[in-house]
Order: sequence, then structure tokens, then C-alpha cells
Amino acid sequence: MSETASSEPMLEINDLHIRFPVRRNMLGRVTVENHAVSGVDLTLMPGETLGLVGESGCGKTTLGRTIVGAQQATSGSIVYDGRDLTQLKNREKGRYRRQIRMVFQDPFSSLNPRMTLRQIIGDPLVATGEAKGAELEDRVAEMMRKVGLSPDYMDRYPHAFSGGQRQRVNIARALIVGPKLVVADEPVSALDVSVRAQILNLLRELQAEFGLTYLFISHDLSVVENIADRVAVMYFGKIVELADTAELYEKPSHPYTEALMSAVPIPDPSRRGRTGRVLLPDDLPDPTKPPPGCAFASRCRYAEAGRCDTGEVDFVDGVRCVRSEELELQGIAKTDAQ
Amino acid sequence: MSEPHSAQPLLEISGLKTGFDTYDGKVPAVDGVDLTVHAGKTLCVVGESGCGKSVTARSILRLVDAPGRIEGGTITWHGDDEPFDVLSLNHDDKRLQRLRGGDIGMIFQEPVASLLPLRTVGAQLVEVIRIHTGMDKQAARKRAIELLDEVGIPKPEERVDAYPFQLSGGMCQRVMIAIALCANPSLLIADEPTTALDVTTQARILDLIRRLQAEHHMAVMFITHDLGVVAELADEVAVMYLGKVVERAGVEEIFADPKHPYTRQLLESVPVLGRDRGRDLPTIPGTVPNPLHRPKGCSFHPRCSEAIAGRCDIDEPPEVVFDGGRTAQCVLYDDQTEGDRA
Repeated sequence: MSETASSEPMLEINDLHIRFPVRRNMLGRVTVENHAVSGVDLTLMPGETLGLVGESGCGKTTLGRTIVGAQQATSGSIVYDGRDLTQLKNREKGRYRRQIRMVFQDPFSSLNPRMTLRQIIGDPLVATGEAKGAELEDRVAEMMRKVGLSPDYMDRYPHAFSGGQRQRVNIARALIVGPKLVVADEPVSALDVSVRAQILNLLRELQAEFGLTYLFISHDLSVVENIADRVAVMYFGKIVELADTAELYEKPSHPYTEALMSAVPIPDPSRRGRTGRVLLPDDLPDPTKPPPGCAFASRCRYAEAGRCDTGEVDFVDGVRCVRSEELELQGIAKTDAQ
Repeated sequence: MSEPHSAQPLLEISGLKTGFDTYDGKVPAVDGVDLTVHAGKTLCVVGESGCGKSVTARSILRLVDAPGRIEGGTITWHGDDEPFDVLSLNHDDKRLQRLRGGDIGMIFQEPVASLLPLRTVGAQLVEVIRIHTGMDKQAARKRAIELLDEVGIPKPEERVDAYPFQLSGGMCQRVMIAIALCANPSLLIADEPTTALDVTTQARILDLIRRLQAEHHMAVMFITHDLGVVAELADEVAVMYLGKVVERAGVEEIFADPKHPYTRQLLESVPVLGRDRGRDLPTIPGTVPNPLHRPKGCSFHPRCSEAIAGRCDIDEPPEVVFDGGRTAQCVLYDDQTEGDRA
């Protein structure tokens, strides 16, 4: 799916900053700000799945919400179809809301308990005035079949369904208006392990059928490895590494990527106690006072005083690390499925 | 259950039944569970939401609130003195109070929610230390700082006066572990202690639990849904599905040669780093049924790829004991069916 090098990018994010005010002085001027996203550049190619991984608080959800227009950017641009989404007038937004949709993490709180599946899934069509009556019903039924739900359930309420089924409802609601880009924010994290595979396979199937582009946000590196064509690793509001999935997992270039991968428990007791596990210290920087130099330096075992803690670190050849050339980092070897 | 290890049993659960009365009927959350935790060993209880793993753990400490009720079975504690049945104790029995937090420490999934937000972590630690050891305030505070240091909290003499909101999730879980450890328990029950944490924090908490276990010769009952964590930590594994233990085995056995179809399908369907890049995953069809409408016969049969019509959907599966003591609740290994299959 990544043989799209020649085509135009679907979405281009340029130097995006998102800051949240934390404290104001008596004149109402912001004195302390939380830097959730600080200078993200990212390009999505049509038809690909870009995985976005990082720990909680790194800004990955904020970035996703900004792309779908649920969050205001402080500065920078998000260019889609020749238009900067951050500069849209209110009346122009509807068009883009139909093309860029979001699937949320928690299938329990993201569905209105007082609406039936027919209302939930059909709502985007009703809101845009695109369909009503018999046509609406047909389209909802068809969408339900596509995501693996029986249309017989159309008049039931979300409480009657399990997490996996609700996530199918969430996906149906996102896809019914025919989007091109779907931002999926931790779509399987809240699900039971035995139904995660179903939803991942479903997302892959729908992508092939509708030619969708995914931004797949997750903290789970095994899930991202399974579904993504390329992976961006985010730390403290910045992309620190971006590469094709195979390359990133086998030959990570950023020490944070290495640490993140080594921390994932492998379901194979014979590999217990394998060497090379990197235990990161806890001291995360304060998001209201970004440190000079590399934000990861305080936890990085390769950090060099004088090099890593001063000056802005540039993003070069897919990695934001001054020492990446000299380091031999350990990745995950590909093993065969039994 | 026969023992795959020579270690002494420390806690023996037999035929435990815990149910919840709801308006829609009784939910048998734990439905006849047998488990043994051996002294100094780690038992991982693995299962999905609703399988009864947490309720089993809470039943051990009698922490099941109404409308939940422990309805049957025995929980035998083989601590230092005469073995006794925890379930036979009265709610205000001194022995039960000593068991909770004394012999058995417990940590939970949401560390920040498990700590009182309005008291410093030091005050919460000191209280527990004083209850279980009878130390005076100064000594208990000194001990609290030692414990915080032991669980890897930097600058413990400052952090002892911090409120939970001032600490990260990982730090709060360390405080919880310190509280659980303050009376030198012989058993630590950990209910999904790393599920709400980042992977990097999880790695360090698991490391800490392993180290403390070795130093204190403590048994650990670790409840999780993450098979990776099981592989990292367990000596023995119990797999639960809808209120029952469907398979029990040593950790190598369960990963190398899973017997129960549920265990096998679960191991295949979970994406593994380095194994499942870009491929369609094998799935377990359907979803975990509502425990109110438990399928007849084997509760896994509607999702099982090897279910035998006419048997699995009618009869409760037998518990088959294999050489070496591992067990599986499945007709596939019953003598009767083995004849049919051959």
C-alpha cells in the first residue's frame, strides 16, 4: 500500500503547534502554557496507514483531534486538498468534516446511550441533509453489513452491545459519509484481547474496499506494527522518528524508539530476561517548560552533556537525534508466525 | 491440584463461587474456581473482562461488596500458623484484619484512584505501617521513607510529603506497592497493576515486582489480560473464561503447548512484535457472552473452532488432568473423545 511515492500527498502538516493555556495573569494574558504539540511536520500519502505511537501525554491525541477540526491549532498549517484546514471559515468546515473522520478510543463513552444504532450511524447523513426516509435506512443498513453488524439490530441501543460491536458502530458512523481520511485514536485499546484482531482485520478490509487513508494513533507497538505502513514516533510534542514499519522496528534510529520497543513484553517465556531491555527513568520534562535541546535527553542513556542538552535538534533523515549516526540501536527481529 | 513445583501451597482456593444479584438475575461472576498459589511463586491469572479474575482476587480478601456475595467454596490460607478457611471468618474477626494488608498485600489497576487524594502519600503509608506493626509515628515515618526508597522513588524524604496528584501514575503505583509491602506480606495480589501505565513504566514496575519478590520470598498472584506480561512474570498460569478456570499449567507449557482451544486461539490472535507485521490476524469469532446468558455446556463452545456438536453444547466439560499436573477443562482430552478422534 505504500507504492504511492509518485502521487500527491493527501494531507500535509507543517510546523504545527498546539498550546493550551494553563494560567493567566490578572490582565487575562496567558503566562503559563502547556506545549502539547510543538512543531510537527507530517505527510500522509493516499491509501497508506500511518501509525503514530508514543506514551500518554506526548500529544498524539491532540494532533489527531486537530486534524479532524475538534481542536484549534495555535500556529502552523494542515493542508488538505489545497486548503489549509486551520484557516477554514465555519461554513466551509462541513465539507471537510465529511472527508476526514475520527474513530475514538472508548466505545462506551463515545456513543450516545439514548440513541439507537439507526440514529447514531445515520446521524452524519441527517445532519448534512444528505439522506432521509427509506434511503437513509438503506444506507445505514448497508454500512452496518459492511462493518459486520446485522441490520436487524438497527433499533437497539448501544448498551445491548459489547465493546467490539460498539467499536463497529463507531467505525460505521465514521465511514457512512464516505470519508477519505480516518483518524483512528486507539481504536482497539479498550477492547478485549480476543476481539482486537477482528477490529484490526476489519479496518484493513474497509481500507482496501473504500481506498481509505488511516492515521492510526496508538500506544501499543505490536498493534501498530501489524497495521501500519509507516510509523511516526512522537515524544513530548515532537516527531522524533519516522520510517517504514519494517525499518523502524528492525533498525530504530532514535534511542526513544529503541527504549519503547524493548519495553514491550513478548509472549514467549523462553525470551524472558533477554538482554537489552532499556529501563527508562521516570523524570519526564514539564510540558509548560520545554527543556533546551532534546526533550528526551534527561531519560536517554546515550545522552552526552553539551551536545544533547543545548540547541534545537533538527529532524534529519527521519530522525531527531544528534547522535543517531554513531549509535548502534537494537530493534525487533522479525520472527515467523507459527 | 497436584503440584508442578515442590513449593508449599500458600493459598488454596477450592470451588469458589461468587455471584452478583442484579435486577436481571444472578450473575455468576466466579463459578467454581480452583486455584493454588505456592509460596514464593508467581501465579498469573489471565483472562478478558468479565471472566471473574478480579472478583476471584477480591474474594480472597473478602472485599466483595453487595450485591456481590461469596456463595460457596473454601479459601484456605496456609500461612505460618494452622491452615484455616478465610471464608469461615467473621467480618470483624481480628485474623481477617491481619490477613488484609498483613499476610496479603494488594495493589490495584488505577493507582491514582486507589490513593486518597486529600492525604499525603506519607500519611497513608504511616497509617498502614502503624496498624500492622504498632510502631510510633516517628519510627513509622522513617520506615515509610525506607519503603519509598525501596520501591524506587527518587528523593523519598521529599516525596513522602507529596499528595498523589503531584506524582505520576507510575510513581503512585510504586507508593501502592510500598503500602502493600509494609507488613512484609507472604502474598502480593496484583490486579492489573500496569494496565493503566505506559509500556516503559510497566517494564519498570514489573522489574520492581520481580526484584521485591526475590528479596522478600513473596508469592505473587498477578492478574492481567496481557499475555506478554504473563510470559515475563509467571511460574504458573491459570486461564479464566466466564467465571471458570479453563486451563492451568506451568508458564513454558502454556506458551509452547496450549491445550484449551481458548488459550490456543488467544495466543494466535494477539499481535506479537516481530511476528505479525502487515498480516491478517487469526481471530476468535464472536464476543465474550454476557454472563447472564452463559451458553449451555462449555461456555466457550459458540466461539470455539473445535467444538463438537452434541457434546460441547450440552455437557459441562470435564477437568482433564495431564502428566505433570496441568489441567484443561475441555472434552478434547477426555478419554472418551480421544477414542473418537483417533
